[in-house]
Amino acid sequence: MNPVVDVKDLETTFFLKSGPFRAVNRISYSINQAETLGIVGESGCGKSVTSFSLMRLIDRPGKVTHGQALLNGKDLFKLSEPEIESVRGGQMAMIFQEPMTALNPVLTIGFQMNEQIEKHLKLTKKDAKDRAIEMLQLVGIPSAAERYDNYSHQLSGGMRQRAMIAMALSCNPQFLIADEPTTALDVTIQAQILELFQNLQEKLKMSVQFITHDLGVISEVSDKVLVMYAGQMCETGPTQEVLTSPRHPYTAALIESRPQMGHRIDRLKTIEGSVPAPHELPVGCPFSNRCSRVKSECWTIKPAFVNITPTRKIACFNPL
Amino acid sequence: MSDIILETKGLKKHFPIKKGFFLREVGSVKAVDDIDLTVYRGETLGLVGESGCGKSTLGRALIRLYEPTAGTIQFDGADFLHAKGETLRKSRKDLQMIFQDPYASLDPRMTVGQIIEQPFHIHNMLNQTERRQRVKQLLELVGLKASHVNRYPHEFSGGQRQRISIARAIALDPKLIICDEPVSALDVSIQAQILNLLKDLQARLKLTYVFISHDLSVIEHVCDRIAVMYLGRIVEITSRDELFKNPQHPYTQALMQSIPAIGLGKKKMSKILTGEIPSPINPPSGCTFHPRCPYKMDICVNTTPALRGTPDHLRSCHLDSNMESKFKTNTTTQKELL
Repeated sequence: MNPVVDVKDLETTFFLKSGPFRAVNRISYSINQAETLGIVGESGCGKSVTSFSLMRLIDRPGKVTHGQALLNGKDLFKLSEPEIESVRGGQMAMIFQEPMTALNPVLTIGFQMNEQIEKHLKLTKKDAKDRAIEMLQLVGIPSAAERYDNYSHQLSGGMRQRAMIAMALSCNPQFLIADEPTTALDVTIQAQILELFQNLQEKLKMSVQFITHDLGVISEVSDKVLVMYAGQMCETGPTQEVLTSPRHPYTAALIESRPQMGHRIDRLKTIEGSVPAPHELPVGCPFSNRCSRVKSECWTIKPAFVNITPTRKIACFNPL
Repeated sequence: MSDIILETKGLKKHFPIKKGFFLREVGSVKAVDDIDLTVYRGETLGLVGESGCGKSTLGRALIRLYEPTAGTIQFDGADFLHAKGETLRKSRKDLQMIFQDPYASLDPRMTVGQIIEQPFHIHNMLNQTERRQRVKQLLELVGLKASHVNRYPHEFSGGQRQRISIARAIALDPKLIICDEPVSALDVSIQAQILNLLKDLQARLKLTYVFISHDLSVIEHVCDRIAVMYLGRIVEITSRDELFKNPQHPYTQALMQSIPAIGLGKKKMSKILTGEIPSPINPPSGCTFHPRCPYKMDICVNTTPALRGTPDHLRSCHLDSNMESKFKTNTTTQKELL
């Protein structure tokens, strides 16, 4: 079975005054039908730029400078502007982190949903409205018909995120990108949204790319995980395997530096220093200057991203 | 641990809602309602809850950044709430705060040196050279370099900025520091550094912390005692061990189950809370948690439960002890999974 999404050697560069900055550096992954890939990493690791690249939402001074992204065999980067517009929001949709800024405050929820539904599903106004209300009901918004005429500020944070999800799913996407969809929410609301998300994915058989910095969330929603650091891939594999027995020192450090309920320790392990600025990136492995297992070759040679088992890959000369 | 440093009784902070041309008061937001809280010297007391539960308001009211509407505050044996003038200034020296957002809490037009020197200015302490020296000491104490003194905040990363605000907070040798979500704006690896730093400083400088966070796993890591808040009230307060072993309030229970854990696999959430946090302008009658509570009884709708239980473990819930055993079995299964 061919994967629904197949990204190969994606590279996105921002041409800044201070010189080109590679936010995403040759990353590859694929997602099968009804599968969830979690992308995890700290701020600045390129996880959001990856999603924006796939949606073709990277604007100047940024540009996708290399690679391809196949959605059902079609390369998204080769599509013309009208062609990508017919895919974006239709076959491929995205949920953003901040529903307050992602929704238009001067248009009703219903208007914004209709726009999309009329365009992609080619429905009449009336049918589009029915479809929108049906979607709002599906994501668990009470009295959906009234909410349809509401503006985004009239909804609570959790409801707004539900409306965003309804909007993203309204045109039956095969591929959904969720960029930190629960980060702005409280934990009890987050739990509701994550459960809704999983139920909907099962029902609609979507392929999902789920981006978050929270390893706990990744563990609960994803089948496989990709750990990124400074725009590069560190480790990938089945989620539970990677999280319970990480091989890349960065993945291990990330897990250990997180206080975990029920695991009491006196001091947390830390990763010394912070993520290097783009112009300070080490020549060899990007993590070399913070790594506790660094060897001499790490400073000069960039480790290749290779298989260690048939399903797992890492980029490290001295894995755990 | 009987040495009390801060004690509040019936502390309230209501924000008036004003409407119309004459700004008539039409209601109030009961952000903090009727809080009895005791902080012991040398401990870390955690305040945990979701947004809108009043934890930050309470933190600010404790040190009179917000003037409380009613109640009493005793700090170090003296009445702090009605302190004025010189007495107030002296107490302020002993009460400091670390804010959530290190990008907003440092003045971008001041150098790091000037920022950390401010407290000495305000309290008219030390001369110029002594101040300079002290600032350098403080920078090194929080893990920065003395040579950073002439740089501006924008030259630092988020974690480093938070170190600067910590240096500012400990400059005057305070007794109590309110930490208002000090790590929630930071990446996990940086978060761990700051949490360790706070722990080290506490041991070294004999500090007392009131630690505010929405993240139960962070709270569990740093706190000795924990107060769980919901809609402006404390619903449960006890020691850390007791709270995690034997959570008695259904809200605490739900909060613990909502936290995603690593390594359990894709799971169906068994018992998640339905509904949302009600508005504190118009809180539900009786127990404010009753619209979301899985164990709701008739009495919950009408009567506000008082904080009750043993002095070491208080909770505000109408449920009796046979319900508690039900909770216990729930938590043990959860612990086993962890």
